[in-house]
Amino acid sequence: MFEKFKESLGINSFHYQIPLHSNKIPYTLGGITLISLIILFISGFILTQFYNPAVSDANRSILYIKDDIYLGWFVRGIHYWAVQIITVTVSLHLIRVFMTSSYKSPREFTWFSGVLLLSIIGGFIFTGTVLKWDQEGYEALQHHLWVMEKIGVIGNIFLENFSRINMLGRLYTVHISILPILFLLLLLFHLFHIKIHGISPLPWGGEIKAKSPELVSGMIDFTSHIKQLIKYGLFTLLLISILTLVIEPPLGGEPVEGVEVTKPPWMFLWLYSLENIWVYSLIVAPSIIFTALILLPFVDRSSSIKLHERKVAIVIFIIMLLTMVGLIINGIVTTAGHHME
Amino acid sequence: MKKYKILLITLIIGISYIWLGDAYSHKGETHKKPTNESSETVVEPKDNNIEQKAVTVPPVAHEEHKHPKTIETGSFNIIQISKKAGYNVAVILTGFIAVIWGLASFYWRDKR
Repeated sequence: MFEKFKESLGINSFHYQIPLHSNKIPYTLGGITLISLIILFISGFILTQFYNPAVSDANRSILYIKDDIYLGWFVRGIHYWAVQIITVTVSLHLIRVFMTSSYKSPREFTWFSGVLLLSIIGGFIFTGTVLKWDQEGYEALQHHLWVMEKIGVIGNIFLENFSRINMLGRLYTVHISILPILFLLLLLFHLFHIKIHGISPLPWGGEIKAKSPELVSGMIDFTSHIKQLIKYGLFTLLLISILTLVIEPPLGGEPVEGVEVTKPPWMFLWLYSLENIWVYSLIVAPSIIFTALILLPFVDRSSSIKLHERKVAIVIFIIMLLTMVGLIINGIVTTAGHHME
Repeated sequence: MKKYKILLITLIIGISYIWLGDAYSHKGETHKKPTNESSETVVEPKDNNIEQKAVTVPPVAHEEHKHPKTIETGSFNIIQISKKAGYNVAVILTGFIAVIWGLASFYWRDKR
């Protein structure tokens, strides 16, 4: 009976061979991120039933979720901690992809879609922060409005005057509808290209060794990879649940207009540090990073994937990474203050 | 393999039973927003579980005569277990996930 369903559902078509190293943790980070996103989506579906995106009620509706709804605090905690885990796994995934040269031909489009997915995750975190509608959320929105005003024509679409619907309501629609649709489309594109081009070879093996009989024999069934992902996914869910049981996510009171007293969530602290130095970094820094990531496969056109043959690229990447970590640490220790005029 | 399936089904039924019992113990009561009967205004839910860090903002130049504003910014807080509705169920759910993870790790362990 079950076998018949497996055939009808096409589950048997998952029995194909993939490289053995696919089951190593660095190569499962994308899959762990995907599972965390499923957890995020499911908890988000529940939260939408109780959240009210009206300015007068948004903050109170979160208090309602966490204090009055049965297990509402748990669902909200799962949603919050899943985001923290995703930020870590997606960053590690990016580092792994760079280190193993997985952005190089023929995987450029996998890389492009990955960069866009990363941007959308940033969008999810930003809009989610605003939706809390506490002081942190309010200030995040003010920063968004400032940036959109400065960038001109395109930015006008995202300003308050564009529509009579308030920004909170519009960002809620972006958070629960526009971003998820874009995300799913890009994710399909991303997964399709992983399927087409396969998982990238090990950097110490290289393209030449990939044709050697030893590596060809070192293959596993794809279902084994799925099982591995489920195991890691369950562990991730366990970790998220434990964090939820122990630490409640922060939530401030209703915002006070016209002041800046909070810092952004930790994943945006690098930008916050740059903003402290030069406020226009809010526009310039993300643009430079996004452009650099998109252009990477065109700039680094060497076909070598071996680490010792890519010293310059790796040194530049590590310097950028350490700078980012340094800026985040600086953001943690800096006192919050006014930035925008 | 059969024992594993039986254990799994037992766990699912058990957890569902505990959860349903806890979730619907109020029998027929509907969710109502707490209201203040004298004025019929909605009472704000009390935030008993998160300590909020109050930040006092100095008055800006043109409002020196006013009192400084106090803003409640959020901060992380260790959960006060007894004050969370359904905390025991959340713990059981987490335990259930741990068991499933343990079983999956055991039965799908790398045999190479």
